[in-house]
Amino acid sequence: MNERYREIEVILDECLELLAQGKTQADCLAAYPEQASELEPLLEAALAVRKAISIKPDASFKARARYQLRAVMAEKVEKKRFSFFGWRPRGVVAVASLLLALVVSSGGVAAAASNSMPDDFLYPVKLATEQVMLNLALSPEGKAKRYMDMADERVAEIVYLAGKGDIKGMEAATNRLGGYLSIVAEITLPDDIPASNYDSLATENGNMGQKFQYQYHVSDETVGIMQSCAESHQAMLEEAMETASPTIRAQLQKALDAVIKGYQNALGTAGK
Amino acid sequence: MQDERVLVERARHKDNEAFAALYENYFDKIYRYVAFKIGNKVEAEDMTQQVFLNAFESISSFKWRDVPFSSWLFRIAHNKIVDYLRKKSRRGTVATLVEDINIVAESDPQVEAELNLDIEWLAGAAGNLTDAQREVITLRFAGELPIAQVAQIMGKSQGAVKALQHSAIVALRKLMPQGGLKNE
Repeated sequence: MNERYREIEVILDECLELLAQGKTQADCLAAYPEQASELEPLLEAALAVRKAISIKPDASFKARARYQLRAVMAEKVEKKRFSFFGWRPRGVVAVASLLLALVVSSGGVAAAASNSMPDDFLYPVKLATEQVMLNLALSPEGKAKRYMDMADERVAEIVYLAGKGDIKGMEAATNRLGGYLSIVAEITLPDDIPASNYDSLATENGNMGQKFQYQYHVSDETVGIMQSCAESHQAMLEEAMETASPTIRAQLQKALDAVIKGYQNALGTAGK
Repeated sequence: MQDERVLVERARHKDNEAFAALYENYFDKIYRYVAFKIGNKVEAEDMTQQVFLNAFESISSFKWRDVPFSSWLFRIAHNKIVDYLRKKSRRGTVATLVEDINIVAESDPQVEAELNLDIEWLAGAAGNLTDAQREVITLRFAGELPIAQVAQIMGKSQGAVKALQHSAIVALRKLMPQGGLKNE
């Protein structure tokens, strides 16, 4: 009796693994015909549990959570940058730090604002802080990374606003997002190609691969970050579209179009 | 997805993109596990985020020996749930899953209502399981973890976990409404 019990426990578990891999109840019963009569009601119950427990997080919550994690990550990187080997840089960065302190009344305000959303009263502080941080980035590479951070925040805001049904807010964030990605495309443009030609360059690179050898402003690491951002921003917006109403979905589609086109241009001009 | 051990190793060495990839892979599973255990959407959202923030802060100290990353992550979630339920119990407001069910969000109100009924059934039925049976069901179905990892998290043998799984499903089957669930 014990052996039989153990056998059905093992078979049930194997069937649960098959179901998890996308096999059907019929596949499982066919695999174990001798135990089919005992297995069938158990698999029915297992499938019912799986459906009942298939809770999905809100897209807007996911976007907020993702954004919050990115903010924590960015904060850690900033702390590390300013205390490399314990040395605190002076000069330009010290002046910039003072500027930042003058822009916001206290570090606490900037920190509180960093997580704010467009319907929050601290949101203007967040935008102002972003501008200051952008101005602190001296190299084209640094600026490209800053713009991508800002693009990340705009995408999270768009998803959040979609959850609130705020189409006007989504439009404003989408316009900003498109602007950032256009600037990134110009930053990644090679030195000897005029900005007005970068559309054709992007097409050529997309169709013919690495035909041309140029000096690019950005490193492979930055291009990697751009590719990662392109994928995650697209995924975030597509996920939000799954549960959106038709009106909101249409606005999300505009944001998605801006993301796809923006990153295609930016990565195209970066030669990837 | 890239080999998880490689990602974890990179994340341990402060590669934020690697941690972000792990985050994307486990986010829904952790949320499901937490939401089903505590039965409250707002609290589950907050707790899910805390799990990942804690994991991010302490990943440098994680060592992939016999315990894989998923087990470590679910252990963080489990401990938070235990603390939460202990505090709720002390305040004399023990939340039952049935009472606090509001964890489904769907754009179609009818689909949402049916899903909530399914969860209500499951939450009510799960009240008839032992703690160990309930934990197995939650880790296997909400967390989508294989038996080996469930066994590690629970500190039991795989054979014992399979036995718990079987007995839990037998019990749940007896409590299924006639004609099955609405959302099947």
